[in-house]
Amino acid sequence: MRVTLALAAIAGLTTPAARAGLEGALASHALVQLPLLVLLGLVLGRAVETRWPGQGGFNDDGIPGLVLASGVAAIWMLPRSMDAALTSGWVEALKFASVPGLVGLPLGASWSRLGPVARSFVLANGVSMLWTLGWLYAIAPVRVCNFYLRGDQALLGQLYLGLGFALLGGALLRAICGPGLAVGLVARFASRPGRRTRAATARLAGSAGERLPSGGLRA
Amino acid sequence: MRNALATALTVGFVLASLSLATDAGRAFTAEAARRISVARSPRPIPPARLEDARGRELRLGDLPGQRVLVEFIFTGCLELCQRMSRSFAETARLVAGEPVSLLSVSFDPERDTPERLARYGDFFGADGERWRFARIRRPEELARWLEAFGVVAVPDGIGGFEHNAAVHELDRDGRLVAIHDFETFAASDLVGSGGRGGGR
Repeated sequence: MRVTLALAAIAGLTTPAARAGLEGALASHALVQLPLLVLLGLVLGRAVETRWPGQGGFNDDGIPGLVLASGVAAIWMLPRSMDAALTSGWVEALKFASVPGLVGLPLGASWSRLGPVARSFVLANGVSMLWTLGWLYAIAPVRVCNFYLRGDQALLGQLYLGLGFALLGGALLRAICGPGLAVGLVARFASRPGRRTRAATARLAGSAGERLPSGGLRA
Repeated sequence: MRNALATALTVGFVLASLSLATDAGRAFTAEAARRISVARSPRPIPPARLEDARGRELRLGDLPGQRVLVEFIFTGCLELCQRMSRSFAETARLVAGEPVSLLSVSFDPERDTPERLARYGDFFGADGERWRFARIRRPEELARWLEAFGVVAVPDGIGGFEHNAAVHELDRDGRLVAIHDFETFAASDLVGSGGRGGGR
């Protein structure tokens, strides 16, 4: 069911209307369309991992999947590739196949198998890449994409910088408060109205608390 | 074992793909890529009917010399085109002794009438013969030219365009043989017979 929905959503993103809407500006091309394709690929990857754990021993530690995902992602972050996707139908088709299939899917299949070192490596590299690219795009005096205005490029740079901070902030919060933070916040919000909800929330918080002992669930 | 094999294979695949996508690390932008592509295999430029600043119909083959240097501009441009046209005037001086013609083509034919092109050309010291300004009136011919050259002009929303800029070198057969940086262009950069410096 999820797989069908994800595939349908990918197909929806390939329609001329969706492409025109999302590829018209650099920021939505890079920060909406491509991430959506990755997310949908993640759904596919989780399904693959559930049905075929470790991919027959070829992806036991998740590293092959991670290498594939980060390498292909790097290609689609090049200004040249984004320009090429707008001029060539073949490149555009390759983008819609490879971003979900070779970035999202392998990452989704590998993530649960990656150890803490590999995950931290991904995080640290993600943040530093966003800052480097963001700083570059925000201050570059020349346009790097032939199809987008320089103002668009500067905006994407600032968004990249902000996203880097958000990612780092999220990771810090998680490190300090534990993975139960989100559950704790939801529990606090949900506990306001009636008694019945409060009981349900307590049960939820309790079960989450047992599972995640470091969670910020004192509320 | 299988895992190690898969790791090695994916590393190889990723390196090969990255190399393919960047011309072995030499081109990360479309602009760099088109320069490499043209230098490797010259591109034929499709025929087009141009109209020069004196209102004469003009085709590429009508221009004298062994080489034609082409730049793309619009006269309403306040920044890049002005710098480029100043450089082009310098280029005209640099190649004065060579059998070379210069052509400045407007990608804004609606507004860039022959009169406007003539005034613009006069300002930069174009003689109207060896260095001509022209426009392509038929939209489909202009689009085909821009595509063949790899020039992209994006409307900037305030009546102008943002566009890539370079000196395009055509040979006698109307093939695009090289794309030069307009700011650092020297006569010795000319490819083949035109360049006494031997080119690159």
